[in-house]
Amino acid sequence: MPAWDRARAIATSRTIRFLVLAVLALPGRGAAQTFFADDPLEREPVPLPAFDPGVRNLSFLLEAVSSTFKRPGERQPHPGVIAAQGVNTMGDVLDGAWYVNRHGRARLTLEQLRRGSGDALAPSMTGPWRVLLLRNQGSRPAIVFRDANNQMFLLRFDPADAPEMATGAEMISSRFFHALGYHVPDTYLVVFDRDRLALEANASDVTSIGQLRNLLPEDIDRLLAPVARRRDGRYRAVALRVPAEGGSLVGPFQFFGTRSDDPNDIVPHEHRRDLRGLYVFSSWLNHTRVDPLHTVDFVVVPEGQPAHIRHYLFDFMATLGSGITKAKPAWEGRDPAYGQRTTIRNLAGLGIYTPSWMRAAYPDLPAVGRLESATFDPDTWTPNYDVAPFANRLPDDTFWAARQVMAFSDEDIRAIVQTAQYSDQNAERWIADSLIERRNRIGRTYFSRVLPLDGFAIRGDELVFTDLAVQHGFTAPRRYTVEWRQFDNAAGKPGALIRSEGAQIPPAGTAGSQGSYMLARLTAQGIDPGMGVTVYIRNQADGRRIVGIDRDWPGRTLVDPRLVVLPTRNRYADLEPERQKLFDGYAQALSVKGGERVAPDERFRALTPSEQTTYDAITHALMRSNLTDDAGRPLGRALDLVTGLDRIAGQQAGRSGDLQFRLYVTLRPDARDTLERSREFVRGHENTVYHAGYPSSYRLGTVPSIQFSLADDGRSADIDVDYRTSRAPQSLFNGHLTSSNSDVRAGDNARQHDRRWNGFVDWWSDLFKPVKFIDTAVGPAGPFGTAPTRLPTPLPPDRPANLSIPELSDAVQEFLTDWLIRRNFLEAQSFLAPQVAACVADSVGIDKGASPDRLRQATLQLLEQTANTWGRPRTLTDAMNPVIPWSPSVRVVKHAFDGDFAVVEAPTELGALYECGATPPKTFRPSTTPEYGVYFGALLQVVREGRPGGSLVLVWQRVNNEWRVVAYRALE
Amino acid sequence: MHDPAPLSRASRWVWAVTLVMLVCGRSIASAQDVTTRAEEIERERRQKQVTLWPEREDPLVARANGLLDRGLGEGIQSGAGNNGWQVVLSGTRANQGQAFGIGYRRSDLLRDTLTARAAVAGTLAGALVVSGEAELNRLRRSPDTFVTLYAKYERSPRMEFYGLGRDSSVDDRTRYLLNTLSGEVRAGYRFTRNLNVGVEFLGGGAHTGPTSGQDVPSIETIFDATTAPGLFDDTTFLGYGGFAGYDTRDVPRGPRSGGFYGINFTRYVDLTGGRYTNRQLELEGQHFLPYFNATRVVALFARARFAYTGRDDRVIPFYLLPKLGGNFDLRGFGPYRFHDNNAFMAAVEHRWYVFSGLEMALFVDAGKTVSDKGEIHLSGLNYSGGVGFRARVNDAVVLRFDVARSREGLRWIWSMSDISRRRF
Repeated sequence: MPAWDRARAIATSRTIRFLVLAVLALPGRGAAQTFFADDPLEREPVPLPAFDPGVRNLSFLLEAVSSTFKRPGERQPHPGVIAAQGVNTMGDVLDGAWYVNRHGRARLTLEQLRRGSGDALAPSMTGPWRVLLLRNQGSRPAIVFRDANNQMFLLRFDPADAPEMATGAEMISSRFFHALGYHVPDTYLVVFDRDRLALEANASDVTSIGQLRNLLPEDIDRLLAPVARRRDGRYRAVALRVPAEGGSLVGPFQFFGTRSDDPNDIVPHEHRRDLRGLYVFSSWLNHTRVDPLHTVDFVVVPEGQPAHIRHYLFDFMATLGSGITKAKPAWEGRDPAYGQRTTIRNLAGLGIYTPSWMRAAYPDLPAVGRLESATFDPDTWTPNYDVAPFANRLPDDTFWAARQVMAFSDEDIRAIVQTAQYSDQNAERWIADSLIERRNRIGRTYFSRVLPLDGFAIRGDELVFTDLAVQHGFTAPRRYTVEWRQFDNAAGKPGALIRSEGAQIPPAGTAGSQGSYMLARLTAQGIDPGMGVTVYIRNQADGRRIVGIDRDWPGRTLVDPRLVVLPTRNRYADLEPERQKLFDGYAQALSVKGGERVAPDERFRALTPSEQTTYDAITHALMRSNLTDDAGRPLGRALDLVTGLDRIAGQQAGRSGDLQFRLYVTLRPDARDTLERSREFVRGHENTVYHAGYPSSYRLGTVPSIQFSLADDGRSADIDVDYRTSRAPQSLFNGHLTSSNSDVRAGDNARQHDRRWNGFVDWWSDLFKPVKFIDTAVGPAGPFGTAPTRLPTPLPPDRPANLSIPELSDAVQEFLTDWLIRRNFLEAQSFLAPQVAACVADSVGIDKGASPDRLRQATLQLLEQTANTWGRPRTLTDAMNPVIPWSPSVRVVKHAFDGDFAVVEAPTELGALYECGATPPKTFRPSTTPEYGVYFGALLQVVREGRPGGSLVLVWQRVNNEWRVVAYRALE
Repeated sequence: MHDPAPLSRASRWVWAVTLVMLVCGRSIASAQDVTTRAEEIERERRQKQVTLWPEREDPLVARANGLLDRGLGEGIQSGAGNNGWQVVLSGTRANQGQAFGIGYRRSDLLRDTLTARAAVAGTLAGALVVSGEAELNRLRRSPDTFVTLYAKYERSPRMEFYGLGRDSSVDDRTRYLLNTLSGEVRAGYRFTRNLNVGVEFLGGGAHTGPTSGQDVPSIETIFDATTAPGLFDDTTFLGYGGFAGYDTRDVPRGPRSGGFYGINFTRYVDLTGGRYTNRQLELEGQHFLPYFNATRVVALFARARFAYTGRDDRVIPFYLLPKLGGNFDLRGFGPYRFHDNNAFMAAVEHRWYVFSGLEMALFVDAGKTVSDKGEIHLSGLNYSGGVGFRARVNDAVVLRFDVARSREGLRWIWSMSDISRRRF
């Protein structure tokens, strides 16, 4: 970096540092005051009660695909970085639902380290273990049992080829992660006879097709047959106690965003220091499979606290050298499961290129697996899949974590490794030695990225500290320079230089009035001057106290979106009274619910920028959309239909497009009737795939348009503005269904908005110039938005045109293949019933009454143009994803190609609405006894060059006993 | 305020939260009144609390998890596929084109002791295979005993024949139709985890016929019943034999360590006159030598197959003769390139890691077919070599792409099976 650049970066950094420190400690939106009286806070306040949080499952397959190809979550911007959150002013993580400072703050005794998360509730050995559930499939055979004390446990085993490997890894790593501060379930090493296991009444066995059946004793024998067995004939296993503090399991947590139903989850996970630092801990313990599926959220009810969600790490059987069923593959921890750079490198290397890790020496100890330290590089270690907070880690995050790691002495490490109770002392020694050396490498690496001063204290009139790099022998003793300044806490600004030498607190500082602050910036000789530590000291009645620490490193330029994007002028003041009134009701409701007294304008200012622009754009469009009936009589404005605002959904990283940039509102009781009577709003097709829970769609003319999606009660609705057409085929490729479709800030959406509804001002553009908004189809495009990575479905045999195809799925596949892959448009056209011409006429903008030849020609052109736009996929798998409807009225038909497209059976009344030229009736009431068998649909999401686009439904019917497309529509 | 009309789930949830807050909520300082960090955090939480929204589960999650519940992971490793309906992409004989079909598999029958699978697949070239299989993994009183029943109908219109012997000319390439219907029962015993020994009984019929292909002449245009014994002479046969295998490979599809060594003996009894009664002996060895922590593997393969008639008045039908050439041995030569009474081959592959889902390989194959056992020596071998890619999912090779070259040209191979697949 050029010198002037660095100087500028340092200057910028220093300026911003003081602002950022104000928000470093959890929320705080730009308050000028830097420190509060209770800083530094050590634990989070008592959590708010979590009301009935829903159970949310995740899929390993989908998560692997998503993290490999989509990289969800907010990443570090360029230029600048976002500092870690969820910390106090000292940079330490607060004790709470995510993390509890343990060994790093106050050393645990060896006994406490060995005990881990608890040893008081080990499985009782006085009675039988009553098996409740058994799963013998896959690589993870497991037994759930209840002991004599009614405690529930999950029992897991070692593979026969590697006794003690996986269970040892679980024992060791669970204790390390507990000592490091994470919540982990209690884990016990157990040795038992087969006779210990007895059947509980109604115990279940999970079959190889994932169903449950009654458990028999021989099922237990079969599970135990291939697992490792001790020489004395007994079994060794780990028992994970299922937390039962009055709580329940609510599924894994994601490494980005926050849970929308947890009031205490207010820091985006990708910016949590405890999750960023987890990278260092994972590298130390070789936890390569750290992903959401190795986490779990529990609702717990600790004494004196309301029920709330606590976040756990669990399942450490694949840590250290264990790959669970065999030794961990050598690439784990060195290469990601898929990485473009490593792939190119290894392809080009032609087997001759062999990085050091490939040649690493591992011991011939089955209990160890593949763990070593000689080729371990903390900086290049990698988990198997991308983890957002890992990618966001900064030098102060890794310093925080390295400091925790270095807190473990050799003796501590050996004590924890002993808990694995390896029968071979060589295994115990190898693992302990490896962890000691890996610890040292972590310290040496991360203590060189910042000035590693720690242990700050005021002794007499002197500021004392420890240089961790010197303490651990990573560097020779060095001299330090201290620069003292006054600090104006109210303004958040440093004051005048008061003395510039020595750690002795200057007289001006000692004489400071109670409540005054000073700061000391420390640098060390021989290292980059941009690498420094700023210590903040408060004068208080009982003496001086260190209240804040901030670390610099060269090139650090902090960006905090909450600071950068806050407008200087509150947009609320510019809203018309009607729009203010609607928001006032919302703000008032929030105040009542929260027991606060926050003025509406302040409430509006507190919204995120995307929430502000979403509210502004949608209410602006609603207010300027006048409604009239067929006779031209006024029905009021669209805004008048809204009586209450329930929620503003702004940008939410990682969520699908139909959940972002919209208002959830309560409508007038007659709103549905008014929409149906209005000439301006057109009844759209039922929402069966997107807008889950809001099936009825009303759309205002052409784009940009307002879409009301009403729930069955007719009172709840979500409203958004679509800036991209929803008409097929354009909507398949134009970003409709991506979040940018409704984000007024994206592309030229604001200009379109102003053209359609006059008087709209893109007031954020000057403020947000450095901020790039989403303009293309990034992120998930609907619930299924990923590029396909599944195995390609083979092309079907090229059937002659007009050959009778009995099965609908075959006909769909043949049609799509003819159209998109073989590009035989004539054969594809033979699948189209004559009535499709009306849809085509609508798509290409010609008269529906045109001659049949003209319509046929237009159909061919449309097929060809659409195929050209779609690209040149080689298989249907490349070209599309299946789309699964949420609506229970639509039946999903299983078929052989459901990896490419979905086939559904629709009620006749619903299918008829999708026919070409059919206008959905203004009043559509679903039948309580729907009939099926007439209309079928093929649902797919377009994928072009690996990027998901819009969704298409092809309506199929039997015409003269042949399957034919009778209509098509873009899904909205 | 809302009227009591029914509300959507989200609204009900939000209002329930509101109700709880109204009952349980306690006042905190307003934004202007915040004087402590704790209050600031509480204020942020309150702000979130009033805008809580239920989490939504992606509808694909249940489907993806369902696939794993139905044994997708294990099915990929074993090659048997998931339980339930399957897309079938292999199963036809070599050179019939890419197969497409469907199958249905259940491994949970009789409390996971019986696995049954039925499949039908075809190719654009008109090949068809219909198969059914039932495998009893263990008997009640003998858990190490296994019994497999297998029945199959195959129609293979693009079988190829170049004449007998290693000197057969590539210019004599012809095609024929082979239809077979066969049934087989194999019963064995697992002496250890790696060693199993068993017997087999089989029966069926074979039909050969001409083809109408225009690019390659039909077999009868060049060969007759003398040069292609058994041509157009339908046979029905019974058979019996035995097998033994010692398998220490780490994974069955694309192993990186261990080996497989096996022997298989079968006697075919011609029920239509005895002219085609013969015996066949197969020997196979595979060994995998990993180095650099299994990021490199040297794979060694050797196979031999010997056919005997035992009497001068008997012949071995040309379609039952040992063969070389194709996707698994002498890969630079076309499928079924060499036929004769005896065939043997060896191959060496050097494989290296690219990423967890891909390996590359360099390979050399050598082998020949001979009519007399006295000609079994290393002179006059046919050679081929090439480079390949192997795609791995869940540690199993699921796709193989090889480019092989021999004196007869370049061949591009696309296969769903690794070369290490077991033949018996």
